[in-house]
Amino acid sequence: MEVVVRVEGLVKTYGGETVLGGVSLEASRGEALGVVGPNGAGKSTLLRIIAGVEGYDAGRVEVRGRVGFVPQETILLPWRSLRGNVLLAARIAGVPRREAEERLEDGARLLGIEEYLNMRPGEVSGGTARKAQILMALVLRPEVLLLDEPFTGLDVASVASLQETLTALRRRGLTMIVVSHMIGELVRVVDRLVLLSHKPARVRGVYDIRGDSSALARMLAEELGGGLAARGDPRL
Amino acid sequence: MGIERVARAVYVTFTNSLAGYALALAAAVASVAAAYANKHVGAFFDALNTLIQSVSILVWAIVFMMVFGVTSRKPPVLVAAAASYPILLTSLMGAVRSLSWRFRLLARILGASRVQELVYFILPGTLPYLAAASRAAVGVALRISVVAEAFGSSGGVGYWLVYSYDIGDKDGVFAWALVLVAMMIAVDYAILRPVERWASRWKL
Repeated sequence: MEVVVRVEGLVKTYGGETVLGGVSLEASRGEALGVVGPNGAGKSTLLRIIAGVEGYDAGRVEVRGRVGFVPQETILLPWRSLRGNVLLAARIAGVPRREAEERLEDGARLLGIEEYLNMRPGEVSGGTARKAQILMALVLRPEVLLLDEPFTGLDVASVASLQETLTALRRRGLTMIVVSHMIGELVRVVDRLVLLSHKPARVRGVYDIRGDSSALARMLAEELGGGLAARGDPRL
Repeated sequence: MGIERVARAVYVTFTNSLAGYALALAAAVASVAAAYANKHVGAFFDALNTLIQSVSILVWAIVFMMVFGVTSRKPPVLVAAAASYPILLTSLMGAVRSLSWRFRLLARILGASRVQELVYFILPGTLPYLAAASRAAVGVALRISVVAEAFGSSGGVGYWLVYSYDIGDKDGVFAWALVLVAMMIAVDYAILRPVERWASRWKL
């Protein structure tokens, strides 16, 4: 399988504190990779660096193809409709208007938000706004889609709908890296899970949860063990 | 104090204030755009803002009167601009600072250029703050342009108010003061409040 995202020995420091302490991972074409770890482990930082919106201090990041990035917080321009937001993304990327409209309609159908396109972000639910944010990334026709905590703040129905959407995108051959602390939701959409340790973040393990049904249980055991050990729990 | 004279005086004061406000708005937007492009320019406008605020409106009025003459309509316009510019600039700078991290992140995610970032993300985002600041700025422009009119002979409400005082016409003074108050209330309710309401829909 062709590797489309390769991160090697990535180091990132903030004000003298090392957040990423040499993270390495790979994602192959059409693969959905989940990144999990404790809060503040640097998962979002890792994703922003791969997206190219944040710099790093050492290591190497290689991405083949266009990247679409969905940030942790939904950021839509409140004075534009969902359609206006998505078309602005396309215009900035230099996508011709007609083609952008076609991509918009196609993506909106896939995400199930056609009927909300002419509404403003303040007039739709959090789930719909989140999907519009994903559509802003999809309209660029990325080869790699990066999603930061896509399930946070969504109700059960919206989570299930988003999981369906992400599964459909994976079937279309899109490479995805999804960061989330909601492992239960994440395992339904990814092929492999990368477990990060707490500051400085390093890869503690990579688990192929599609090919090996016991991988998730092993990962959870390791995560739990690591968490207790980090707190100096005497039961270990 | 015929209706024709009142209408003419209101027109002169209103256009003086509005022109001053428009001038201040253009200058404030240009200053913010320049400050956004370069932080040293931003520091310059911060200092300029402090300087303008530290000079009394009376000084501005006298200086502009000396430069342009007492019959010119420029002094009231420029004094109104000098009074409303700091209000608009302070509000816009604050709005840009508070908004920018979110919209800058989105702009960077989408690969926007610096100009696109300013035009599509930052300036529209400041509109609700600008509308709120404009209410204060237009009010100040109206009150201050009247002061400058009092020194000259441009024929605005300020001129007639002082004229009435000079000839000892107490009723005239109160009547012109009432005209001014009515004018400010009308502008506030007919223009500024609706604009602020409209712009607040854009707020995050």
